[in-house]
Amino acid sequence: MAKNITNSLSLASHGLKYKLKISFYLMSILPLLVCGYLVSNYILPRFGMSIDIALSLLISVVIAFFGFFVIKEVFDRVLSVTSEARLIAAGDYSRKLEIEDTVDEVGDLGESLNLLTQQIRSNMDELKGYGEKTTQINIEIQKRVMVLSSLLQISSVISQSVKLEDSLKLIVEKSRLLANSDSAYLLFREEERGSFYMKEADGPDSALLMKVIVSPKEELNKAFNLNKPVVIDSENTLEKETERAFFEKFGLKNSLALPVYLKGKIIAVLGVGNSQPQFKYKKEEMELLDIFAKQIAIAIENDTLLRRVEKLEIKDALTGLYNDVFIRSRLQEEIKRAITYQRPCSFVLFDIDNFKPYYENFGSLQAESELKKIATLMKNSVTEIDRVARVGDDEFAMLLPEKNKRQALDMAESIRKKIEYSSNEEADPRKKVTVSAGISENPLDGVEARELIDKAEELLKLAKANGKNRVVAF
Amino acid sequence: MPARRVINKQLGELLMERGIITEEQLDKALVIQQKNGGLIGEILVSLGFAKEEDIAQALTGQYGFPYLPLSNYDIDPEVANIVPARVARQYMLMPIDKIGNNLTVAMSNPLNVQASEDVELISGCSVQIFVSTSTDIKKAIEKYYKGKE
Repeated sequence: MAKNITNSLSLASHGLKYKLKISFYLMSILPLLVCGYLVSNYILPRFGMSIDIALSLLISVVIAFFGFFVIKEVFDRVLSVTSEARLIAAGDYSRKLEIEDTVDEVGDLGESLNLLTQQIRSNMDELKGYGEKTTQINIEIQKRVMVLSSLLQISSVISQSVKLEDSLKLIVEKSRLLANSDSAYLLFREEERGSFYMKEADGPDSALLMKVIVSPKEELNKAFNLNKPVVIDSENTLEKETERAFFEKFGLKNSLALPVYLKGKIIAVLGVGNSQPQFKYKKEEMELLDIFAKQIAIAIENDTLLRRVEKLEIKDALTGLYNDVFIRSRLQEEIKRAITYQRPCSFVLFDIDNFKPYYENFGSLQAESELKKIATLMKNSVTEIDRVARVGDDEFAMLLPEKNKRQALDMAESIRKKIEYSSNEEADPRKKVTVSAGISENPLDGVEARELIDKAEELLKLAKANGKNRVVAF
Repeated sequence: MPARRVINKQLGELLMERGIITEEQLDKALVIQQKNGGLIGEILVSLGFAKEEDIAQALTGQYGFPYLPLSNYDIDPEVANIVPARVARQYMLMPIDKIGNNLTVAMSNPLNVQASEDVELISGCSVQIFVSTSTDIKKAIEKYYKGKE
């Protein structure tokens, strides 16, 4: 309580105006009144003058007011600086204090404040610049992340060994995300004639792009064959004729095209393009597109290798029997051997009767297990030198060296019976499985694998036509 | 493979029993067959260990197949056509005559039962087998199946 009273009386914690008022009362009015009283009562009567007390008071008050206005003017300036400073502190850094003269301390204060504001303003500008740069960098990073994730996606698609067409489509699609492109295209080089034809295109004009063919005579073809990027933009141009030809064919004003190499040879060209005015391709964009071009090479190489592996594969994955490719090449070899040793060699083609409805009725699992069962039965019914293969979904083949048609017929007939009996006890008639077969023989039906296969197929058809569940040898 | 080995051994042993070749010569021929393939009879002939006639006569004596010297025998082309050229070439045989439902066939290896079965199958006749030398049969095939498959 006591402190409050001292606080309200003190000059410490109040506004300047209040203090000014207090100081006015304290400093001027009361002392002046005392002075007036003393002067009019004691000093002036000595000199025989008498002044009216009221007049002396008035004079005192006027002088006091005059003094007060001088002080007030000083304080007003302080106040205006204060309110300006408050506005600046609130965030309005564009404000500038108006200072008439800088002679006194208030002027100095204002000027310092101006300098401070300016400093802050320039710092703020700098920060803003940094902010903008950061945004730019963020956008760049975003783009790179997108490119990297595209590459990841492409890699995984390639490694999953999906169809080559699908991989290429994806790569071209993702290339379009680069360098503000409207379109992306992939031209394949024809090995023999050396012309480029469109393999894949992405973008609004892809239908038009798909028709593009660049024949070996064209200048553009030479440009694509130069082992370096073909760049058309505001700073890089081709020869006028070539560039015009490019624009007519591709409908693109700017384009960046890179060669795709496989074993040191150009096999394709990957390109992106747009039609923006004053456009320029950056070095990074070229580098990124180059990565995509390399992915295309990887995809193509992967596909080639996969095909090669498939060719080398000799077993059927489901049944463990030999596959179609193997049995054909083996048949040719076996015929050669038979001719050399003056021996016969037979070929039997089996087909499961009504397997499609079986598959539809009982599902793939049951169908596969039935195929496996038949495969095992066939394998167990032949000798060591015979070969059994699965040559179609529900088609099996047997290569029987040293056996003539009669022996092959005995064997095929016994297998047919075994299969028939194996499902004899099935209550559901749809589950009863039978096979039909056709038999051919070298030398009777030919001296080439093709002839034997054709003959066996023909006889198999006959077996089917004659009511299935039978073997036909002639 | 096992079937062929049996027959080869039989022919080799047969020639050995008859004193035409020695055991060493047979071993030598079998080594060559292992390495290069081919028929044991032909290898023995090419090595000069036996004559074609020796082999034909051994087969005749052992199994009772009659021997037929093909070189001075005229064949009716109609009869030749009963067996396709490729079959004749592969099995080294030559149809020579047909009387009723009996087809007479000259073979260099009458032990090739599958071959005679095949001939019966395509001709629908029962087959009568004669033995001839490979050289004579080759000549006859060239003569009667010229340019045919």
